[in-house]
Amino acid sequence: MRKHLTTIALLGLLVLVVLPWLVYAQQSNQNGELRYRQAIPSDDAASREREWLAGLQARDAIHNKEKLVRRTYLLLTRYHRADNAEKAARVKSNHEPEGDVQFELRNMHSGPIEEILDQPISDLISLPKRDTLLVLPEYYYRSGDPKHVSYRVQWSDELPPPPPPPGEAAPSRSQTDLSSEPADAKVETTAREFLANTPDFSTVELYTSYEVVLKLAGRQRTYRAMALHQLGPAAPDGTTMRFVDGIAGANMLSMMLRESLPPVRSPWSTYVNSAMYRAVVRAVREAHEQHRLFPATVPLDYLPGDDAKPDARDQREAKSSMSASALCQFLDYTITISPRSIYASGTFPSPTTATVTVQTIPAFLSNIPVTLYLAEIGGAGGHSNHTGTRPLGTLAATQGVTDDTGAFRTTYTSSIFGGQVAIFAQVPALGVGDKGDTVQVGVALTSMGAGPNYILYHNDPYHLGYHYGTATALTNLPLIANDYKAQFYPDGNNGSTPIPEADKLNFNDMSLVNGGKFEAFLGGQPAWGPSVAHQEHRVGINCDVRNVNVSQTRRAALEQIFQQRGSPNFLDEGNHWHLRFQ
Amino acid sequence: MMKTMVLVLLLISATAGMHAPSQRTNRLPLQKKHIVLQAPRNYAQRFLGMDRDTGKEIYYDPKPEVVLLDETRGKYAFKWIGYDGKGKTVIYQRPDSINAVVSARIETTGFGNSTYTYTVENLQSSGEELTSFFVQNFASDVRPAKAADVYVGPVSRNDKEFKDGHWIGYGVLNSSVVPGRSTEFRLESSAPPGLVECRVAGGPRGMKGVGEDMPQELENILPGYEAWPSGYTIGPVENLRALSPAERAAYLLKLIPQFQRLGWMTADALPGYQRNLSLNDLGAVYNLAEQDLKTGKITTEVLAIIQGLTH
Repeated sequence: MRKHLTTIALLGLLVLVVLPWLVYAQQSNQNGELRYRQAIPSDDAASREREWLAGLQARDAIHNKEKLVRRTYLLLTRYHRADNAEKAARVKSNHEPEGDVQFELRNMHSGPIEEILDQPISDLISLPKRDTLLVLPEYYYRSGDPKHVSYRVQWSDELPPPPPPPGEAAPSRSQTDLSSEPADAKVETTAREFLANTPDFSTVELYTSYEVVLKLAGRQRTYRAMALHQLGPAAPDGTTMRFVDGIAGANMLSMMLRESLPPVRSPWSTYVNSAMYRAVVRAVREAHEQHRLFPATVPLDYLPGDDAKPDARDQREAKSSMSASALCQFLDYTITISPRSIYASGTFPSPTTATVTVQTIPAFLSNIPVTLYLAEIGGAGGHSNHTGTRPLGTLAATQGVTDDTGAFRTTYTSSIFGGQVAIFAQVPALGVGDKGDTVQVGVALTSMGAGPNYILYHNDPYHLGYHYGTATALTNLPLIANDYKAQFYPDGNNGSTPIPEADKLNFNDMSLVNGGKFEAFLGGQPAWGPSVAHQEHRVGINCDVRNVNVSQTRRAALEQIFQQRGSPNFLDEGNHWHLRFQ
Repeated sequence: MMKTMVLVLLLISATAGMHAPSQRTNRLPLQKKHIVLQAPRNYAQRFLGMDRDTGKEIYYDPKPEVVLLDETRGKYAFKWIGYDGKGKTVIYQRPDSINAVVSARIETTGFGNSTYTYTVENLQSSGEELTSFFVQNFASDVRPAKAADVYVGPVSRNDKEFKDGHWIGYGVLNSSVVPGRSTEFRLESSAPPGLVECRVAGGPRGMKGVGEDMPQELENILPGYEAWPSGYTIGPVENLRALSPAERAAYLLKLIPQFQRLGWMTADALPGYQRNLSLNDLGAVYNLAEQDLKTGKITTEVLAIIQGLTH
């Protein structure tokens, strides 16, 4: 019996002491630390704690990314405020803060990119047909010092309208009033297809979608936009984030996030000679030297130089600068383009050229070197998200010197694409930064509205609005649809007979908002003129009518309707008719 | 003696026979503009894309051409070099490769309405079948009659050829009206007839595309409606009702020379109308017209207009 009791005691010792020790020893073998395994019940609480901590970190990371998105829009507001304040100071009037662009970001939501990839892109972001912003930087510079900058922000439709197509009258105010038309396009393209060619898209891990309430100059627009966050740590310069915002401009927002220049303080002519200017310049230089662009704890709309405080040295330097007034003479220049509206090349009406003039202030500064360059304005002319480099036209001379009147002139020739083009000048000898102006290229066309008997077919996410035309085209197309309906769905004695949705005529490609080259969408991302493309559709006189829902028995009558409704010379292109209005 | 008399009678009869055609009406075919189609001398190089290495724009010469294939049938080849480097050809059919005569008559249908019937004769000398007939009117109650294999509907006014009044278009949807055959189109209106314009087109509608737009400069040389043969006929003109008898006489007096130019009135019939109209004697004009229609000195169009103005 005692022998049995001894055996039981030894076995109990083995179970209670030795086996747990062996398990512990095995777990400690890896790296000397105790490692928890989920299979062991006693580890559950710690595992949940780790998951909770990881979630907290992820939420913090997302919160930081969302803060970066908000910061970007706040910066644009601040730089625009600086621009408005300086412009007001120049004409000695008060700055009106309500004139500054305002963005309210709401309904922000972040998540893994996979959760949205199969959704239609137009459910996620606004694909604007109109009411977009034009944002241009204006640099201020004193020789040897870091630049200051402000951003001009305006509605793109505030630019001068392009000239009317040849033979057509300029659209009347009522014709150009598009307020009854949807501002944004609806497409079936998925986010996966739309974003596939975004640079580094394969490394995108998270997205942040949000709604923007934009206010500027008494107008308001609410739209949706998105930011894409890439793998890896978020750098303060924002290179791991890309915006998908068709209204403010994706590239412009990325540039805003990277902007490292202090904002202009007004009036510039006084500020540039002040101790505060010296302090800001010193602060910016120190920050650059220390690679410390943004202090650790700053307000969300912090800009370089905000925390600068003049010290005694700044006061001394400012005074010596003021005393040497000759060195502080205000030199400047202007760049103007005339006319500011020209036709696209290849459409034959003229002019397709404009004179670019760089004029020094004062006007007697001769032999001053000038360099000109062209810059793309994102989304201009209705072209969106194309691959490659946009043809912008040509400058007869990109370099030269000012003449005896302080002017340098050259000729700009438009490209075949419509839309605004920015022309910038660099005159480093004057100690002033780059300045630019814009030229409208194309023709003034009017958007086609909705109608009861036709569908404005749209399947091209790279041209968000392409139902623009001349008055002749816009008059006749609804009549064609009405005649077609009357022929095959005539109203009876008991009232009207509506045409079934599936049988309505589908009006596909017409022209882009400013006309010009319209490279057809053939299922892939356009690259500024693929080998098969529309050659016409440049001046608003064309429309492609799809024939997929027009039975053979109806086609002769429809072709007769084309003949009677202003398009005697149409082409049967197999899957559509190419109409050409006289 | 008998032989001599027979010869004299034959001679008289032959002479009368020779003069007979000039004493009868002969409607003038619709008139055509002289339009020459030539390849564009100035044209733009075509944009092909951007060079990936240099970033420069790439253009090529599309070499647009116009080649006459069949003068009688009015067929041309519009040729160019396509984006794929291969030759492209679109066949263009002139709308004026048709010689047509339009005649019109009116029948009263009751309730003050009239049926206007237009007969379009595609002359044997035509190169193509008739496809379209457009006719003008100046009335608000025009109701075109539908017919099998004919599309009928309004014509847009925003082309300069159709800017005045209203136009009704008839499209023959089959190829039945070949050269040598004629067809009829009808409309109803209560308005009296006046002088109006009409146009026709022949040959297949539109062109067959080749998968890419032809160079813009080639499309620019395609003539529009101005190339459609045009002429005059009668159609409802509402405001004729409001004319006073003197104004009606003046309206007719003004039209009489044109009736003769259009082949609707013989030269020898003209003085009688001018005389009666200058006396504002519309009753005598109508009686004269009834007689002259029987003898072939005026056409149905002239009688219809006179009847409309005198009743």
